[in-house]
Amino acid sequence: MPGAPGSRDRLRGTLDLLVLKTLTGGPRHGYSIARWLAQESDDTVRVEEGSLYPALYRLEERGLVSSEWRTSDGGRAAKLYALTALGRKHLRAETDEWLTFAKAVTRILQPQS
Amino acid sequence: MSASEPPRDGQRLVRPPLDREIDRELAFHIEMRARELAAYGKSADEAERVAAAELGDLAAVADECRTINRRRERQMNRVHALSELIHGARFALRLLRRHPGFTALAAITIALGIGAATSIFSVVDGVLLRPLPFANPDRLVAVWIAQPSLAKDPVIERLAERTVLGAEELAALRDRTTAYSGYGYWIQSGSMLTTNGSAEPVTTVSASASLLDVLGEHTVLGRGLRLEENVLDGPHVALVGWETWTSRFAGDSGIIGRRVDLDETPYTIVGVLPRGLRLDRATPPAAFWTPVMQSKYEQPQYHNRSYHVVARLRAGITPAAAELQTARAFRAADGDTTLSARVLDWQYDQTHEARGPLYLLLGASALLLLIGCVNVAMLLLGESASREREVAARIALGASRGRIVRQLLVESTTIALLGATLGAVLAWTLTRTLTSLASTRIAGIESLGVDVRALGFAILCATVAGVLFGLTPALTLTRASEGALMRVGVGHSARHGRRLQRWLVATEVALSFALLVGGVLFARSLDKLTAVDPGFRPQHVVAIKMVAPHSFYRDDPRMLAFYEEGVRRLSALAGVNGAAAGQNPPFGGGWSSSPVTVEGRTYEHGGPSTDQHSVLPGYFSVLGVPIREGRAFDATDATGSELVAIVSDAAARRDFPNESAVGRRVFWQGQYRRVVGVVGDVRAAKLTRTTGPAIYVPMRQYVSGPTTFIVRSSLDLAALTPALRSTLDGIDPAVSVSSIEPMPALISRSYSDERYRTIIVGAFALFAAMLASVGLYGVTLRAATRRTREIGIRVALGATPGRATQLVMSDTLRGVAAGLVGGLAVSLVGARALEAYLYGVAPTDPLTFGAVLALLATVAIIASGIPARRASRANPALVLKGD
Repeated sequence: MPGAPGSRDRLRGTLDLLVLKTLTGGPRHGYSIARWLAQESDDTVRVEEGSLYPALYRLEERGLVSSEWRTSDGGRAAKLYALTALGRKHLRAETDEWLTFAKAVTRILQPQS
Repeated sequence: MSASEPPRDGQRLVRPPLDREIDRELAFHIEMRARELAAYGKSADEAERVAAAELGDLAAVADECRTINRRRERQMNRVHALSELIHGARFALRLLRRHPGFTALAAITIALGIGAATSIFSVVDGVLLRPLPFANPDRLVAVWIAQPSLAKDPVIERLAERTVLGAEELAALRDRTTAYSGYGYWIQSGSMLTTNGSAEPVTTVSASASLLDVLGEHTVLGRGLRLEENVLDGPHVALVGWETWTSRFAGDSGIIGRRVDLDETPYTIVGVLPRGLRLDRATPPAAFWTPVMQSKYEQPQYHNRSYHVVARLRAGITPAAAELQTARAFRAADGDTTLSARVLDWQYDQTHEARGPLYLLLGASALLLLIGCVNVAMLLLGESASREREVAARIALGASRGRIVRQLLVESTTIALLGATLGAVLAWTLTRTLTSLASTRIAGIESLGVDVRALGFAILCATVAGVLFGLTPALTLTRASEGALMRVGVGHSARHGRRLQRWLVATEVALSFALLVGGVLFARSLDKLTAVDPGFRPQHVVAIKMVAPHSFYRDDPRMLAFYEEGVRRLSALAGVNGAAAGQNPPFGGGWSSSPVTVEGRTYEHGGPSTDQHSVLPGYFSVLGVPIREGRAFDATDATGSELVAIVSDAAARRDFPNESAVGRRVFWQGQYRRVVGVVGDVRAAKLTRTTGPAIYVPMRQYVSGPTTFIVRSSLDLAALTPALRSTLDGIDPAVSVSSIEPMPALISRSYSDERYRTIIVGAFALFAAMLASVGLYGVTLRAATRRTREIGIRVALGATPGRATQLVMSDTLRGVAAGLVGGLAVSLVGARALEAYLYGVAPTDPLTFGAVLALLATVAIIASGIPARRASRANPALVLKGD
């Protein structure tokens, strides 16, 4: 199927973007990121939860997020992810790009009435 | 914090092990989700199952995360190692800057070793290791006739292993062998190129049409030679060499179809050869290629063996198998059961003579580098005594031993790389010198330079050297320093270090011993060689070679007239004490031989071969060859008078062992000649080799090939040259002077290889002696400094300065003594490898060994005596106040 790798990349890029976005409010653990994504999008964006963790690890590898083990939720040990400066910059740039793209696609799809 | 107290929220925790991290994370996720689901009323089991299911394939997710994590870990380790390395190098440089004297000494030492090794390596690489610049060069072989039966004949023994092929053998290659996918053959010769009436000699190759194909080469312009051109009186076409095309014809693309006059014959240029095409690494690319087999003398009935052959082996055929088949083919074709064949890798064939000597030099340079390493190790070890406390402190502060060793190795490698940089510069200069020193016999040497490969070699050397000379002190230091922090005063844990120091001293002395023995043996050998009596008096003799077209050499009366007139005019020149001419005078490079038999005797194989020389009267007196018996030639030995000959001592001994040769008749070149004299043997090609039997005949009775003028004059050659040239150039317009060279220079060129070796190994040996003395000086100085206090006390207690000096020197000298003994033993065995390269001196020459022993012992005593004496003179009061 031609064009498939590209669309797959965009999807993965989108997940990365959303994950980064969830972290703008402060450090979160993986579960809380999954929850927040589900709530914010009214469950429209059903992130395949299994792919969330590899995405987080990859983001960390790229230096966009950093991680730390801390206690949370009443003493449970959890791995918290936070945006790095690089991640913040990346998020800004990607968001702009995404919005431009979305606007263009919307303009095309919108019925001219 | 006690274990019972629950951690507060947000408290930082220790990271779980890398591979367990994701499991914990997923477990946390599932637990949280299950808790949430349970709140909606699901049972605990059910909730957990759903939570896990939502995550998908848990194992796959965990695996993917682990992979990412490990990759990240490796990356971080690399970054970490690099930063440690940079940090270490920075620290090392800071340290080295603080000890500039030490640093300079160490770097120069290493630079010498690496410079020497690199420049020799670049020669070895260029000559021996780099493949020939042809397609699949490993399939190319040289094909020769081998005639083992000739090995006993002193005149033509050189033909035993490698004789060029004749038409019969070429036919045998074509019809009776299957080992080759193709072969090409050629004759290397020279021609006179005539342009606008002036003639000049150029190199030409008479090549078979197949030669370019076999090499996998193509003309860059026009076409190659064709098979139908390789016939008697075939079309006169020529290929022009790329170099000649660009220099002489300015790279003109309209060259095809142009006419050139070679040996007074017009040739049409049909193609341009590729750039740098040479059939032998030792000779520059030929100016022209012409078709082979076009002359009368190349036809099969003349039985001339004159073709060099290169063949391409079929896939899967080894040279040995091809040799077997080829030998059978030659025997069958010639009906000569004594014939054999030699099939050799083409590159090996071109370089086999240089191989042994070059590896010898590489070995010598490796020895020098090793000495340099030992030297720096000693210096570092000395230096390390003063760093004991620093290292101890770092160990106490938690640095691991591995880390400290790494740090110290980074330091030593930094020194080595510093040395390598200097060494590379040195190598660049040295290689120039080496190549200019080398005789042209080392194939391809003139095109050499230090390049990327050689630089890579230098860096490799430096790294190995750095580790090599850094490891010993590093290990000693870290071992010695464990617990040394608490000790007061200079670390006396150095007992171990001192023993090591002695070992290093011994090693350095032993290695230097070996290198010095090599150097001295070569020098003595060269000395013996130059003292060899060549059998004539070369001083004040010059040899003048001429060039002329083939037609001149085929015209006997014209040739004779030219040389007689030449001798007459030369003799009349002011300052000339005598002139003559002869074919193949000594050290001229020429050589021809023919069988001689004694009247009334029968021979199995047509008679033993004998060097032949056709000469004009005065030849012996001008060269200074003594007449042993009978007379020399004079003007009366001409056509019409009795045919005469003069034989050499060796010929007389061979043919007339118990009687006088004078008055007897010998059969030579189809005629009987009466022997009228016996002359002394002349060494003609190499001083190392006694010459085979020779026969001389008067040129007036037998005119042969190219002949050389010889002139005896006490005048300076530079003053003489213009007169000689103008005298000879005016006699026959077709003949001109090609070279004027003094005989001593020709002789000296014959042993240029030996001289080259001696200079290089001698220089290495000298370096080694210098390094050893510097090393011993440094070691003793350290020892003296370390023991200043002790010496002060001893002197204060009444020890004489002499006794104190002995004390300081004793450590070093014990090492030296061990080294001398070791060096002696190693050299006695190792020098045997040099035997093939020595002349007139045994590899175990006692004089050499004695001299080296004495030299090194003296150097050691002086080098260690100076600092020791100074230490013993120190004022005890001053010393005791210190520290």
